[in-house]
Amino acid sequence: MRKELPLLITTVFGLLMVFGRWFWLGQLWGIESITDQWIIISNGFAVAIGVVNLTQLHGRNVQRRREHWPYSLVLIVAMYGYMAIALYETVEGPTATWLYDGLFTPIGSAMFALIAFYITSAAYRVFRVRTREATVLMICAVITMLGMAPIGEVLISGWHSVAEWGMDVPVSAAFRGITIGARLGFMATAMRIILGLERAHLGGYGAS
Amino acid sequence: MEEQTFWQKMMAIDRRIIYAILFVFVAIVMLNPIGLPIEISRDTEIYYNVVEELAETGEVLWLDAAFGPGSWGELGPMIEATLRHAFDRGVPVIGMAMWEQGGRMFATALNNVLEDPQYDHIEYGEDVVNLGFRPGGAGVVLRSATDDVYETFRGVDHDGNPLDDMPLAMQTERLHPDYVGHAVVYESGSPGGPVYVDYVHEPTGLEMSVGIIAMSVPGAKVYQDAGQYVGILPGATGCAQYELLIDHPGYAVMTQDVISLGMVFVTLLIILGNVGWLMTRQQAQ
Amino acid sequence: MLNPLMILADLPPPTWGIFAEGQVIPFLFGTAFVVVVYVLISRARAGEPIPEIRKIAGLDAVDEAIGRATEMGRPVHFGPGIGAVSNAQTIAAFAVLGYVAKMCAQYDTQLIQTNRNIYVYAVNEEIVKQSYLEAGRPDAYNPDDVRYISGFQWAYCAGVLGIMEREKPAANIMYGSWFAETMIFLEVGNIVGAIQIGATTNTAQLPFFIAAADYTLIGEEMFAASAYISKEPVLRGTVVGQDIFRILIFAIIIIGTILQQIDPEENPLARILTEF
Repeated sequence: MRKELPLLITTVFGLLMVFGRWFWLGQLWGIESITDQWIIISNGFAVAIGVVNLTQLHGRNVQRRREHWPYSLVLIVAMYGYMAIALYETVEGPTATWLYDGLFTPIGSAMFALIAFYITSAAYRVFRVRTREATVLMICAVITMLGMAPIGEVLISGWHSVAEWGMDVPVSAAFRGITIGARLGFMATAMRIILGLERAHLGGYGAS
Repeated sequence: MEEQTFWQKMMAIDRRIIYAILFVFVAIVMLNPIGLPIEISRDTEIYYNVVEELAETGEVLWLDAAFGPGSWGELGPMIEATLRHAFDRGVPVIGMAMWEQGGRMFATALNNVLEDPQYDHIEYGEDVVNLGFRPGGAGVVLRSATDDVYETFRGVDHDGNPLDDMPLAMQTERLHPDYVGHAVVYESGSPGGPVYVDYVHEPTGLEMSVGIIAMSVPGAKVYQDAGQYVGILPGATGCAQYELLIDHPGYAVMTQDVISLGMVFVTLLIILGNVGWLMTRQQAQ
Repeated sequence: MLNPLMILADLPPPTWGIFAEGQVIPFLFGTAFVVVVYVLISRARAGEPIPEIRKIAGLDAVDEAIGRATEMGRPVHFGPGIGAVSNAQTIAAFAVLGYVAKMCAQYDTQLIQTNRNIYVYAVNEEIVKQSYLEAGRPDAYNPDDVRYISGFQWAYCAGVLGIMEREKPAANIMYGSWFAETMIFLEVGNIVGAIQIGATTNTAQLPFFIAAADYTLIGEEMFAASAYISKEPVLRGTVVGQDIFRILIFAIIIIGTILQQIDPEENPLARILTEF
């Protein structure tokens, strides 16, 4: 029963979604819209699971003084501290806004900006022309990289057009192939789930 | 112990030295811009024309900030430039966010633009509204398209103010071609433009475009080729071109020299890394 | 509230009496897909031969990666991407996680499993627990190793980087829907000396995986995983059905292209596909 009930629910709702999209009556009843409202509601409850897990894991880290426990303490203080402030003065309140704009936003931007450093380091240490294919990949990458930035056109007139053609034609063609294949994979996965053949999401990796 | 050769030392260089060189390099170019010429690409022109066409029809432009603070550097200036362009040409704008932090991203962009005295005449509620974020991601977009914008956003905007006092929000009953002229999604991940393709463009026929971070541009091209995206504003480079087209060079234009010379720096590192690798391999043989 | 009258006002009349506008072809295509898969599954159940799946190097490398981690006495990190639980890539990751968890349980190797999505976390917790049970090592299961990090992309990224720096996994398996954080994870994985396996259909991230990971599963390869790992003929049937449809789609593309060249104004195939 522990597995049969979730499988039944999955199949019923999978078929309901198919009915809501393909059939006129399904669209008239607005089935997709209704189920999406349910998802919105259940998303709200999901946050509680996250808070419980974080509290349990990091609470134990602090309690047992595990290695690096001060980081766990920072996380708990930050999580409950911000929650308390936001509950007291709403998320749009001055302190919550100040914390968000002054701390969260720059940290998020800094994380994204790290990509520049990591790509630079990887360019030097990882990107090797070990094979003919890797050499072709590298040449194409350099043409596109410099061509899409203003410097390409400064170095050689018409470079930008070559890079743009590369993006529009061969890259698009390859990506379409991958996308079509992936979409078929999506479809096969959906079909396996609706038919109850795929059970990996219920634990273990076995099938029907 | 055998002494290391020059190339062996080069290949074993501490990555922190590379980080430091990059930091110094970027800082120097930032402080001393060389002003490389910026050529306008076809994609940027198409995007520019979207707003120009809305100016002729007077239809609403719907913007979705589907990104967080991490992508502000690339996508924030795009929203600011689009708002300036729309306000200059009298195009009403409605903003929303599929991402939780997106509502604030849109609000920041709007505040930055409205600080300019040039836009003192812009009335919040009449010329622009920020609906903000509602939990549900794709579901919110679907409900806005098939049901009712007012109900989907529970009758309040990003700051919790009632939509009843905002004529623009009340007139725009749905995210549908009957009420909206064009939708633009500013995308840095998922959910992003494809949600609008599935739930808005395909079922209702509403035309849409995306402003997208540079590394995701190739993936978006597929949708443009299929006729689902009208325009793509590609990364900071596309935004810089757009800023020039609206005659308001801003943050994105400032970054172009850094991007260009950064690319040259990365190319040099790739060459140097490969030469070093070949030399050490040769020596080993 | 939902307003059926509002929808009715916009809803075009049904096609052939029952189908929504433009949904006849998707319906026929989907139904045909089910029929083909059903035939192949029936053949598999009856013991009749169905084609084998080719070797997928990236999945074979999972064993190697876990073996290496075991020898080094270091943990394995598994990331299921940052997509939602409804994302097909995340679902594909579930099957691989089950396999990885079972292997780790058998070899007594620590598995650190990090999550950005709370639903994905809940499912993964169950998968890992169940796999340890199936491996006969329920005592070795440590609930603290399946971790929810944060719902925010960059907070999740920062959390995982910290874990990788501190706990130094010997294997980093990134299987799912990845975005801009890909290169950061791969470079940190490289710094800590982990063997890295990547799988995604997000085309913008594939070049990073190919350049910086040791093994990459490209596009639909990742969806064959559950069939490949479980060796179940029934699941293999769905993968073969998928391939039959791939051939069909490419045949339609080629025929459509030829017809378009013959008469760009009146392409009957394009008309059927767009009208129905």
